[in-house]
Amino acid sequence: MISVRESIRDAIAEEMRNDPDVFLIGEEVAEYQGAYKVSQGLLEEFGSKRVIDTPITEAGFTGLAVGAAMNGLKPVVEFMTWNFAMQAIDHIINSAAKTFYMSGGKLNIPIVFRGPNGIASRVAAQHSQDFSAWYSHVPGLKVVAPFDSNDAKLLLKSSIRDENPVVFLEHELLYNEKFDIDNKEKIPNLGKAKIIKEGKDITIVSFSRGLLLALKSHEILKELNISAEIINLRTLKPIDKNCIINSVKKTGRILVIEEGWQEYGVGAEIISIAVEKAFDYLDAEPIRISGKNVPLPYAENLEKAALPQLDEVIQKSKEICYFKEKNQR
Amino acid sequence: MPVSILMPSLSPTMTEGNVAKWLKKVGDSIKSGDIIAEVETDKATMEVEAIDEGSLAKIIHNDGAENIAVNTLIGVISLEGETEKDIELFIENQSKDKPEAIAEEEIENDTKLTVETIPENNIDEEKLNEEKRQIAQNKSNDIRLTNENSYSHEKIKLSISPLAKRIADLKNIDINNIQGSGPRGRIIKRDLDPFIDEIEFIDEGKLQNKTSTERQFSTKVPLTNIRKTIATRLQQSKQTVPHFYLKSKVCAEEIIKSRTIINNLDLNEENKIKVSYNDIIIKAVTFALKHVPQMNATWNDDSILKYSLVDIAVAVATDNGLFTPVIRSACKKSISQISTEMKQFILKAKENKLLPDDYNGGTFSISNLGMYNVHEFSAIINPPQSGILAVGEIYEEFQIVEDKPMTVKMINLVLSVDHRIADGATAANFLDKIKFFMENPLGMLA
Repeated sequence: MISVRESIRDAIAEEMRNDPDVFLIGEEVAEYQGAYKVSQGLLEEFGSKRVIDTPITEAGFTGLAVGAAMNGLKPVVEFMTWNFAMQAIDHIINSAAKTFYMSGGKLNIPIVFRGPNGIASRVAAQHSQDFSAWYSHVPGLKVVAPFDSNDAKLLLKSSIRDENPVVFLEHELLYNEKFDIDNKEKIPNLGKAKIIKEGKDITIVSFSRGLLLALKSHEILKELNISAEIINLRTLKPIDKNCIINSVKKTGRILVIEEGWQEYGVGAEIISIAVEKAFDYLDAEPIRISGKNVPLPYAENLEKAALPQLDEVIQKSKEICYFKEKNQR
Repeated sequence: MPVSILMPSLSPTMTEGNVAKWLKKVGDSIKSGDIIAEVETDKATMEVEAIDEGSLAKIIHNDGAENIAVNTLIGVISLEGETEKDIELFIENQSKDKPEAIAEEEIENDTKLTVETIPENNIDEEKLNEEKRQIAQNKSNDIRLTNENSYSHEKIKLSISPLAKRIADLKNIDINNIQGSGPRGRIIKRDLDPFIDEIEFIDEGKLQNKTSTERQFSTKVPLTNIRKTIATRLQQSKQTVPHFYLKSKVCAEEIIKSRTIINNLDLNEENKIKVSYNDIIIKAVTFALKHVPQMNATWNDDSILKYSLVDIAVAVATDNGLFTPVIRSACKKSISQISTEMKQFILKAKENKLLPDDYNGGTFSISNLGMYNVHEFSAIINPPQSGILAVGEIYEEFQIVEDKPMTVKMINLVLSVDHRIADGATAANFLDKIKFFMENPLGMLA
């Protein structure tokens, strides 16, 4: 068992050992060993030339890192959280994502932007939001959303090796979660989803922390004799359409869980895929369970209420599985 | 705006229903999917499921209310924040919207008989009851009521999941007869399982877990609406209608001759007629009913309803079940007209396209199994009709005709009669008239 936090550190360390062009840059990544203690021991092992503390200037160090990538290095840019990357979104999108296209394929930007994304615990609206849909909208970016330690380690290694700019969306509330590592799994190419529970009655698609809810639902639905197939998307862009389509063809139902806002969200994209490519296999309407359409509240009870609820997932799953309670005929 | 709870149309043939039981009290909160009430149809007791959320504001027709036309307001759900006044206003508006007029239409007078009004579309429940009361009061047998059941029939929009639709297309399943079990009656895959699961049922592994009694069947076929209707109506008939049976042998030589003549009439190609024996028998029965008007009647629990026109139902077998389309005013139609109509009905029945107007009503039925080489049989009366004639095959027998042994073509008839409507002598007279017109088709020219 290893925590997601350590897996990310291990992935960076292994890739830095493999490839001298890889370096880590961001606020507090070196001396403080990471605002969330992700980069523990890296400064000690790799020195301050490759583990670089920056001033509080996202636009500055992100632009600098993109420039380094243009010149052949492979930067890993840590944002203290993705909320602060708003300061640097111009570089992520206009400098990193579009350059390969605008240079006629002559200039790769092999860079990883990483940091905690999504809600954290009681840090209020400006520090709690899910950027999955934002970045997944942009051509030229790859967007990865790991769930467990295995995901974090393998997908980050794959992201660092990728020739394209990758937005790597970690989740603060998963950093401490410990998972078994599957040592047999090879480093996957980005763009492949993973079925983490096989089922036949309903396809539940989620990513990142939404999968905790999906897995809990799986257990509860199992007791109701509803067999849920759980898809861990792993990569949001490019998205593994075939995995979704094949699963929906099998189950005839799809439910998506995301912590982000529903409108124009990741769930909307997934359901569009299901409806476009597996329409004739749907036996019920597709369902989105998502964060509520409000800036995330600070108050603990409201914060909880604004996120996807287990009850919602169970209730909606029962509905679209046309589940009848025992006392009904 | 408050939400109305209407008497649902639970099957394509349903025109009215009874409120069996309210499962919610006024004031109870209602969630989507809750069962609000049970409604009795002519076929079964079914549940009324809530689609909207709110609370039950008013019950308009209480437990046990009977014969409520489809789409009549039976209750009202109020949504959040709606006052009693809103509900009252809503109910008032609802009743205003309902067309109240009863189309009155005179039918041709039959010299001896007075004619009542024909209730048409959207009959209002009270008016109908009023009418029934009048009938009860007026003991005269001469009151005529036809087409009692022809209320407006609202077609339900079929809802089906994409998967179910695809399966139905692939497996050639007719979805019109399937009652969807999904929300708002949506047909879902599960509803089609019985049609496609035969292989699964025979699956050995599964069978091993079943008890020996369950093993005996290989396929479980769910009841279609028509199957349910046949089952309920005929069971009710056999259990509650006092049947008696009269049997007769009829010489078929004349109708065979008549048929040959009619079918060989030298008309141009377009008008070429091809009538069946059954068409001629229908016509003969029509004449017999004209001569024995006591049989041209239906049972109305507290009275007998008699009719001036002769509407005859004819049993048509299809893969989906038995249908009995009605030849209206058969007395006024020629054999070839009857024949044309029957051909259309048979086609419609086989394609499952018969409308309630095609099969509602009728005073008497004919069932002919001659083409299946049935020698003779007894049929079950289709209530509230007075009787049914079972027609067997044409067969040959030796008879002494003018001191010579001859083979003569014969048909056996068995007449089933509702003893509440007619007694043995009346029925015997009627059967004799049928025999007469079949053996003397010329008599029909009179």
